[in-house]
Amino acid sequence: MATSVQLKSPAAESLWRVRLRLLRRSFGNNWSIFRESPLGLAGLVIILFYGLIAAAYPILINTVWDPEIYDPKHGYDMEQSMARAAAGLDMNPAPPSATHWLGTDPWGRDVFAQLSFSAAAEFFLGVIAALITVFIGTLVAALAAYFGRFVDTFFMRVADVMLLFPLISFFIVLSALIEDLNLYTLAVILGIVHGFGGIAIVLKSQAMTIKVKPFVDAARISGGNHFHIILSHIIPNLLPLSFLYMMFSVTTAIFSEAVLSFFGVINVHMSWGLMVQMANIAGYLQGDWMIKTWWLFFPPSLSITALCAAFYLVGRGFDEIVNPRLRRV
Amino acid sequence: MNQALPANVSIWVQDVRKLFPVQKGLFVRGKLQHVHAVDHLDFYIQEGESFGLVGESGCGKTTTGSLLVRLLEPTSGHILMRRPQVRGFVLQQGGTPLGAISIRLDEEKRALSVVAADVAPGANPRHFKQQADVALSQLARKPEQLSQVKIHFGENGRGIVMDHISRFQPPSAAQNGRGAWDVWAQRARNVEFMDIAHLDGAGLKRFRRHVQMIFQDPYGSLNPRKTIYDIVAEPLKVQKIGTLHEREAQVMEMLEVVGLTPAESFMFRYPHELSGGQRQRVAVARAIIVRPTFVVADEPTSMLDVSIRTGVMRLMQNLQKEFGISYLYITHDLAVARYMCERIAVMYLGKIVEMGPTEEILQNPLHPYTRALISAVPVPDPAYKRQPIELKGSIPKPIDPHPRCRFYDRCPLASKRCEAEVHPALVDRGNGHFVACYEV
Amino acid sequence: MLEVKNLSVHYRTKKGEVSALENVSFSLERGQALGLVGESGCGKTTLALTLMRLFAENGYIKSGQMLFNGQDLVTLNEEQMRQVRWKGISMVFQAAMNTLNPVYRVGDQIIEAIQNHESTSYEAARARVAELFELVGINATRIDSYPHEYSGGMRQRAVIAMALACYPALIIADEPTTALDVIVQDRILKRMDELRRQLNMAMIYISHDIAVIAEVSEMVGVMYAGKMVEFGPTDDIFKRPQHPYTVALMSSFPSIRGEKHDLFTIPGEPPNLLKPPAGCRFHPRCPYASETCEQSEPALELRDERHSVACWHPVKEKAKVRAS
Repeated sequence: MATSVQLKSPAAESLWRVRLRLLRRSFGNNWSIFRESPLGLAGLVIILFYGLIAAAYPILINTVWDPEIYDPKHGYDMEQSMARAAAGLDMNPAPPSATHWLGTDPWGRDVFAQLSFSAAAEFFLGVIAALITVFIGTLVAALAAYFGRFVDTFFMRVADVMLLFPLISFFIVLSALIEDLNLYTLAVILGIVHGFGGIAIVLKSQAMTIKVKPFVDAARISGGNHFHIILSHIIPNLLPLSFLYMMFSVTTAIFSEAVLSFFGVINVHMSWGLMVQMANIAGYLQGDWMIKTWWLFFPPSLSITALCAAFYLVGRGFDEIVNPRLRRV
Repeated sequence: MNQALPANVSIWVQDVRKLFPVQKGLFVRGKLQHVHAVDHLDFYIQEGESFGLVGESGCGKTTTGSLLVRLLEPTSGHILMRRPQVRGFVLQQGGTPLGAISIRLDEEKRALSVVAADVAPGANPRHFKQQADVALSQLARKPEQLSQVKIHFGENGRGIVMDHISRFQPPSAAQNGRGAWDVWAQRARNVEFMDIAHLDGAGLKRFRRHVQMIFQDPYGSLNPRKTIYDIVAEPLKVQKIGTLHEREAQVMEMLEVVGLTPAESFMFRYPHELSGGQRQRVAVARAIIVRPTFVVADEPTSMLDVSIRTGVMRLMQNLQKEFGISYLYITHDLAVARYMCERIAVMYLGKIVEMGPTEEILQNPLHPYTRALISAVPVPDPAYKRQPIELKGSIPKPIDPHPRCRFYDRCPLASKRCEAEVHPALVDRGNGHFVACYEV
Repeated sequence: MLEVKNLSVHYRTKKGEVSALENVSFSLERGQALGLVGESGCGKTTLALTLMRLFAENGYIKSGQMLFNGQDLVTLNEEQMRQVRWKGISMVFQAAMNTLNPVYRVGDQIIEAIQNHESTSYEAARARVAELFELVGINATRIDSYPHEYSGGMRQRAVIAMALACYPALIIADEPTTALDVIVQDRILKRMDELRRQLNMAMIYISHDIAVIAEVSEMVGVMYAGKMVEFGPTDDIFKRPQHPYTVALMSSFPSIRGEKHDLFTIPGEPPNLLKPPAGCRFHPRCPYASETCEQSEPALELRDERHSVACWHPVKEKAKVRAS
């Protein structure tokens, strides 16, 4: 072994470029693992499908659709209503036709436009809420696991409370207090409530297994203080699991919104839950109306189910990446 | 431990204890019990030496390692680490101590500075200062003399002698640790040796540059989400050493030194892409990159394949020679300790029962536990007929142990004296071979 | 009693086929102690699992025979194999202490093992457990304790008792004492040897520690990268190792007795079994490798009485490896 080693020149590329390359490589690796999972792929396909649907509204409304007719809240197709009235049929809701692919709702608004508009809203809601949930959940988990004792107990009791939280009642009260309980506010509140809840507990137990790993001791011996260890070691090892749970959070957020909309508690421009609620108050969910005017109930409710399931399936697909033990050899 | 230390002591553990409270259920009657993981531990490690700590599970060797790197804080006792470049001396003239003085050598500026000076009781302060100045000016001309344990200064035929502080006998047990001499010489000793036992904050962080650790598990000791570069550069980053470019260069150099060549190809790989032996080399690189004076190696090769082990062991020895590092080598494998360590200490239930030069202990073990341990080690020679010494029972948990000898329950030589008296102290039987036993 | 002929076992993985065992042959007599030594990846655990036909789903026996008392275990169906398992051949798994189910009492677990393979009553099985405990050195009062109440050494003994439960003709012990302290290890190995003689059982000890193998086995098989590279009586193998890998392995083990010699390091790393090297699998690391070694695989050939080596250039003098 040479006594004086010559200092070679530093790495040929700059550090950030190397890191970018590594990121791309790991992304490619993870994708090839994800590809193998039929559940994950199915989920991804559904998400892409709804992505297309969500993209449909802004494209169509700016090109072929007449906003007077196709606005999801205020649209009305005078022509069609007249034609139907003349034919002795109920004007609205009208069944699917060439101009209204999923028909119209009891107020004459195009159902597909509503569906498409809501899709974007659902994505928005789901992702924002999920990001907030994961951010809070990861932070709480890392702090609780690392500092233990009082901090741990505090956050775990908060989590217990959140788990038992009666969301519906809470939002009913909240809607009375807050004037404009819109999608954005909803996303934030949902994010916070879920962030301190069950996900914190799950991530905390993972964080506890990370905390006792020798590399954390090694970081301490190098001179790292609490925050260095949490930011540089614990949280990065939590992120795969956090990301996984983010998928499940999206599911929860979308579903929660649907339920809250159904109770008419929130003030959204349009959402799938709202579509079901409106069909309900107009009485079209009773008896065999549900089947006769199927386009009022099934598209939104199936969409809720499908999108929630899709994110869940993608989460299952991620599970194999995050938990290498699950991979089939 | 009743002995004057050699002058080149790097780490000095004094009377260290580590007690862990035993967790009982919610409703417990009676007082809290403690596990005595490490109890009244006394030993020292010299500069550039490899000191082995051997024992079975539960003996406290891992806890000792954790205490020395301050992953754990001792319940009581002192862990003294010599500050680099500071030496304490006692000035004497004609056999009478004049005072104690601590000198620091700033290598970059080649300048000597006095860090502390205390007059001995009964000596003339002005005289002390005079002689001290003379000594200093002479030393300034030849600073290499600082590393000696005894420096003579002839001046007008009245020779001054500077004795290194470690050559002073610590006060005997009868004086209860405090003698008149101690007060004025204490500072000299304290300045040269830093007590890390209860450091915290900035002092602890600075200390971390001097002591590092290599762990047993090559898979768990590297963060799987970081690149090799990140892992090895972390100590530099945390200690804010060097610029980004300098760190990159240092990491490359370190990877070459530990045998991971070509360094460029290893820099940005992840731990799971490396084999066990390679990962352990990364762990070594991380430990050495801050140029510590002392490294604790906790069973660094026990989880590696046999043919890889010797490579890592040899690497550690080479690094020791090249960088002058001392090791605390923790292992349960006596054969490995024989190969790696110049001195070893055998631990049992939180205490050192035997300590001394490795070959001496292995060829001539005195303590009954050491003898039983050695006799139980399998030998890779089918012709050798081992005579294992039977010990009754198995290793107990050291929960609030009886003050008598910890080995009493299992010892084949146990006597009435062993039952009646407290745990025996470590006594030098000659040649630096210490044993804690009444019956041998 | 046991004769393995040209056994090859492969694992199917996404990246290809891993050749875990290739053309392994050896034999074992009744009541004999065989030690299998080698490093991780050499195939010794695969061999043990194959003998019990317990390997993972993606493993399969590519070719070869395993003749146990005349019966070829390779050709048996699952039901027939169940008859052989535990009654003919049983196993002490690696990290056996962790294979005890923590929610059941230890005694019950052994009773279950007995009742799964023989039709005995609960009382008879329990009586046998008491006998077994006495054999392995556990106090019979501990039959009803849970595994976490046992010490490490006791758990190991319990697992050995479980392996002995149906008094098999052959026990395979895979690293039985790796996680134990040296004094406990000594006791357990001694006890296992006594039991072997007492019950006239054959034993296969698998270990990476040649010191343990030297003490407990009568015959030794050295494995490397899925192949049996040397096989013979323990004394012979240790005094006159002929395969360069064996020689290197011996020289890389520190010992507390004898002269303190310089430890040898084998350069390189064990090969990737997805694409093992052509010819002799050890040739990339061998100081004596020649062209023949790169091209053709040497077969296990008998060189001296009972001592076989698979090498084109077996080492003639004692244990002097030229450090390259």
